[in-house]
Amino acid sequence: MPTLTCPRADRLLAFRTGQLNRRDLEEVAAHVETCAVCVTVLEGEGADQDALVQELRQAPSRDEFAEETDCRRAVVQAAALPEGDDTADGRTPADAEATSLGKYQLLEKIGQGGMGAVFKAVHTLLKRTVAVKVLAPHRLTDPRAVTRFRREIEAAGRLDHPHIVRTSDADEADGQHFLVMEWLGGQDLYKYVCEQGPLSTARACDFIRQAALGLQCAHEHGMVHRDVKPSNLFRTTDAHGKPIIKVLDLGLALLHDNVDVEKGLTGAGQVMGTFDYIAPEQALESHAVDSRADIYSLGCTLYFLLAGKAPFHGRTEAQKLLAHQLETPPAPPGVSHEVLDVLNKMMAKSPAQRFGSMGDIAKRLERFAGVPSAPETVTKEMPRRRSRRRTILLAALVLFALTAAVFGVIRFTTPEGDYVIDTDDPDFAFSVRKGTIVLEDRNQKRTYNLKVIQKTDDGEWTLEVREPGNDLAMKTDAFTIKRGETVALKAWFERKQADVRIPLAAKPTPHVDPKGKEVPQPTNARSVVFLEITTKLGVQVRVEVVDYRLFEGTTNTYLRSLVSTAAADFWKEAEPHDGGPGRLGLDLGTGLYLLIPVRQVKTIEALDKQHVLTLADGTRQQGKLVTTAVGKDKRSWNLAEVKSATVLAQDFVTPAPTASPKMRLTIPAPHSLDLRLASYQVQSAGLGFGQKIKMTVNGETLTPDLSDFDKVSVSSSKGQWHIGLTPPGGKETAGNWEIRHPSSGFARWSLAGAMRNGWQVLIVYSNVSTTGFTLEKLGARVPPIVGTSAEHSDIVTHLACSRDGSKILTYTSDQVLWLWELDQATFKLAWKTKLQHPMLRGIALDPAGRVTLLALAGSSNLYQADLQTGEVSERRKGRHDGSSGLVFSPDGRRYLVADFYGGVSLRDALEGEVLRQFPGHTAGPGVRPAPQVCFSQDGERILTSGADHTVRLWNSTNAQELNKLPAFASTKKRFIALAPDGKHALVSQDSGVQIWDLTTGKSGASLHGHKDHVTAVAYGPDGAWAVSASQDKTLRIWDLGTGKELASLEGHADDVTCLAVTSDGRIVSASRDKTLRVWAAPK
Amino acid sequence: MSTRNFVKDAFVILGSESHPSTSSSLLGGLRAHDRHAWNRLVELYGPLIYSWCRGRGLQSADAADVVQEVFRSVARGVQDFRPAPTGSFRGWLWTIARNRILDFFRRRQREPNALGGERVAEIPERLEDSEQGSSAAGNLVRRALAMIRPDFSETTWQAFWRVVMEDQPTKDVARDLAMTVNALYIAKSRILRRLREALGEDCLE
Repeated sequence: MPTLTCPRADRLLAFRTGQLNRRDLEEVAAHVETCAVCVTVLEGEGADQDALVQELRQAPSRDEFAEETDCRRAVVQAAALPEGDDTADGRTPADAEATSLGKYQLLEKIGQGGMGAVFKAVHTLLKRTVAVKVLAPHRLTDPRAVTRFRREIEAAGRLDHPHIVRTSDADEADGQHFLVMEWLGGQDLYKYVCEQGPLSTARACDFIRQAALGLQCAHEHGMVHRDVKPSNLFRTTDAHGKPIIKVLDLGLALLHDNVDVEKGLTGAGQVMGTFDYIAPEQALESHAVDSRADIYSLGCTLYFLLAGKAPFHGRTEAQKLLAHQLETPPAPPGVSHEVLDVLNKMMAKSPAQRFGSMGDIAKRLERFAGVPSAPETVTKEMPRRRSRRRTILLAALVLFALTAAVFGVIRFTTPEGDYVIDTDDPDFAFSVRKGTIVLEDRNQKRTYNLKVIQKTDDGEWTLEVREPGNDLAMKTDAFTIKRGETVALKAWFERKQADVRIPLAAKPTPHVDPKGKEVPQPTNARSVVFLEITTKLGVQVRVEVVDYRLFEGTTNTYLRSLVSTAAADFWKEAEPHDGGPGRLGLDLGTGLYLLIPVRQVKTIEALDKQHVLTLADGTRQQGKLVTTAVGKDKRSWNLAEVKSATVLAQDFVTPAPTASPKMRLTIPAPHSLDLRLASYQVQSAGLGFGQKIKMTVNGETLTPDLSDFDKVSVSSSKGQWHIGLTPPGGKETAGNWEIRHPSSGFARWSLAGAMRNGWQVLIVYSNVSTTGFTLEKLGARVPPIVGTSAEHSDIVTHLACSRDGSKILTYTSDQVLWLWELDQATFKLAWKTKLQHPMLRGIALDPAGRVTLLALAGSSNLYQADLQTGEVSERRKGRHDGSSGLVFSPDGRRYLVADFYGGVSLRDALEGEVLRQFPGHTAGPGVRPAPQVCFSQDGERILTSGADHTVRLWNSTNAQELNKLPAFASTKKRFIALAPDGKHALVSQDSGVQIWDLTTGKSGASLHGHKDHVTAVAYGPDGAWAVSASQDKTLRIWDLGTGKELASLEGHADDVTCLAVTSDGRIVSASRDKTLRVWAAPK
Repeated sequence: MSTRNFVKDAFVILGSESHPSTSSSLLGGLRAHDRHAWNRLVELYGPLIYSWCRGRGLQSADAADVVQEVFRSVARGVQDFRPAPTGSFRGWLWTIARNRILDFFRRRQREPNALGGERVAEIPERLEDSEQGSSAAGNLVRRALAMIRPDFSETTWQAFWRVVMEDQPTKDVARDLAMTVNALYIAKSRILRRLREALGEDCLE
């Protein structure tokens, strides 16, 4: 019996976040179930301040540490802890102290591998320090294995080579087999690279060369290592501090094979070895390999040293095995072609194509390793504290940081002078961090820090160059990097000259008549002004200001009209969305802003903390703050920081007059009418419902009545105005009337719209008379519907289609999944399956029509439907929370999945393994639009939209972001499509579709014609046309060359919800009317 | 049966609704020496503790060793663990982990010549940082979610997922699932409570 009294607020709050105990919770639940008051409290503010809820809402992210083998091992071992606490397994250094093994006293455990534990030990009699490897007991259970192992060890023990770790003894004591090796200081190359990062080419080649020499010796004695990998190459140093590489564990690999064959690869709790370095032939027939398998593995090891990761890093073990057979890993960055050649030959898939011997490799690597490795003492003495004590001499001076490729001459201005970097080599990049120029040499993978310091003796400034990690530090006047004999980069510091007042140059081109009055420019003139601002922060900005604003009257009246009373008004006035006038705002220090068109500015001078602007007409103005507005880019320059501002150039561009303005009016039969008009004028200043547009056409006045039209719409984008007039008569004669203004950036139209009784009422003002409109009837050709439509039991919400259109997967809101087979024009239902899950988020069908992917709300895993039977099962591979956007790559081997939190990943189609991630869409809680993803035809480029409301273009191979389209309003739904060539994109916006040039990031034509919201967009196979689906029940086909509508596909009785285009250009659409339709390919 | 499978099976048994387990609360189970509770603890928090260690500069093998030491301390101390009003189970684990990490670095400093590390180990400066908010912590709650998933019906889970995880408007979710908004909040409350139990954060018993 529920209590009638509402619970106290604190109890309700605890209930909301699940913080009541079980009995109390159920008691409150019984009340809440029916209480309308409590529900409003629960719906109230602050509901989700709870830390746990916040953590749940965090986007799931990859915890790379938790994926490490050692982590799994730690968990498995810890699970056995409460009972297993005292077992021998947990031998600690303290235990070992008391332990002796035969003639050796074990001092401390220094390592643990799959083969057994390694201890530092001392010979009880000789007091010689050695390393003792105690083999794990299960390694040697079979007597034959013991024999073979002994034979191998014996052979290895006979090898005496500077690049092989000497095995001095092998014995058995207390039932434990162990090996005794020379004691070395140092670490293995795996740990070394983990700590140091990828090695320089010279160092990596030197290390591999030494290892090759050691392995050559083993091979000459008929021994194959079989397990060459970074952790089996040990780096120690000789008496002079020169690094020496020694090969470890010769002969031990046989034990691996033995165990693997008998027990399989994954014994319980067993830490499995890795297949990162295994030769292709070794994976197939592990016993039959010869020395060439070692060459392959050494090649993989070289790869690891250069790249800092194994060739097929990040894949599952099974995938690695396969990759070694089939794939070539991406080249390690910054490695020369010669070294790559050696690497590729070592890693050749066929043993016959590899080097003939390790000796050959050592010889080939000699020249790259030719630079003697830096003496080890340098590394050892590298004071780590240096980074903390970093001088902050210039820290306050250069406050911004950017990374960019240096090309040409770059100057960083500081009060003391300029850093000048001169290079024409694109391999250099620079950034500025805390007053230091960080110069990155991507070719040689080296980094230099440049900083200017003042000498104490003479107070002169000098350039200090440091190479982090390499203790190179020098003071110099000029710093040069050479590639061979060529100077690739030169950097120096140019001391600022004694206080020279920099004249504020100006190149005004005043357009004034003899009386000093401004000559009105041609109305279609466009002024381009370059403005360069240098601030005391060392930032030089060169802005191109394009002034679209029509200028009328004299300068003085103009200025007066622009003085506004608040900064807010200034920005309102700037109209940033429309190209924007290039103007300077001058803070007069009184709360007033003076807005001045840049082209009116003659000079700007900084005088005594005041800014003086001299205008073309001789007027002078003083102010404190200069603001510039160029498009959306609004900046304010504080006077105190402005060193100079120069009007560099002014250029008036007059576009060529439009050729033979004409107006074409076409109405298809039976109301055919074709008018060619020479010119016309839109005159009406106040236009509303029932009012008329007055057009002068060939001297004749036309006054079409607005009430004759079903709908009038006006929109603008990038200086193009569209007036859409839809004539009455229903959809049989539906089509768009359009008055298009070709390019009038300066025509001022303002409009207001309101819906009254379903009619759109417009008021159109224009203060300009112009020519060049075209009026055209669009959309006369309607391709016939091909074949019949197919009926579903409910609204179709999702659709996926194979490339050839033969298989079509749909999902309806009654939770049924349908597979249709399409034979040109006939749909046949293959199966339908009712899903147990309430909501489908995403659906994908691979291009070949063989594999499906389903994303279901509330499940971390993806699902798949068996295309033969329709049986739906969970995919165990490739967890991805909250996924929604799903699409296969054109080759079907990968898929993209995007989630509600902004995560986008490219995954292997078979394993679900993450291949690449595309960060960037991540956004906090709030309205999250359903993410969308698409591929270009070659699979190289991908387009994504997601939680942050932006659209981004990426390179799918290296996950580099290539372009980002501006964020759109969070309340609007947008749909995207990527052109087959990956160079253009379509983004829907309400009832229109915008074309974007992804190379420039600029928007192009917009496609207007739909009468209601667009619900899907797609490109035709050749990228020449596009198709959009809309809630206006139609699909429309667009010519992307002209931006014109080619056809309107009519037939659906309700909103079109989704569409797909087949490889032969047929269009498949589905709708709220429950049907699936196919349309002929547009001609 | 391998340990791994054993752990998995334990979830299945505990998770099924036919066994309204006496020790659905992690802490209760640990105090009752419940073997399954221990497994859940390790499975849940092991990766987190491991990440804490790795994030503070320990090599993977060392991190695995320190994880063992942390769990040894937990096994000894969990009987006496009483959450402070402001404290949490995770905070308690963090305190232990931090101390074991410190022990590790102190040991390292005394043994500067150990093979495998030329440099004198330094105690990282960031050791005192809070453990909250990392991706590892985010994954912890997701592991816990996966554990409790079988305890709830599909509709309840859907309601919770959409309202809590995806922050969707309750009205939309209620309409889609044919539930009342009231029922949504009850679903949310039950699952959050169960989640706290699974995480050992149910300090209001």
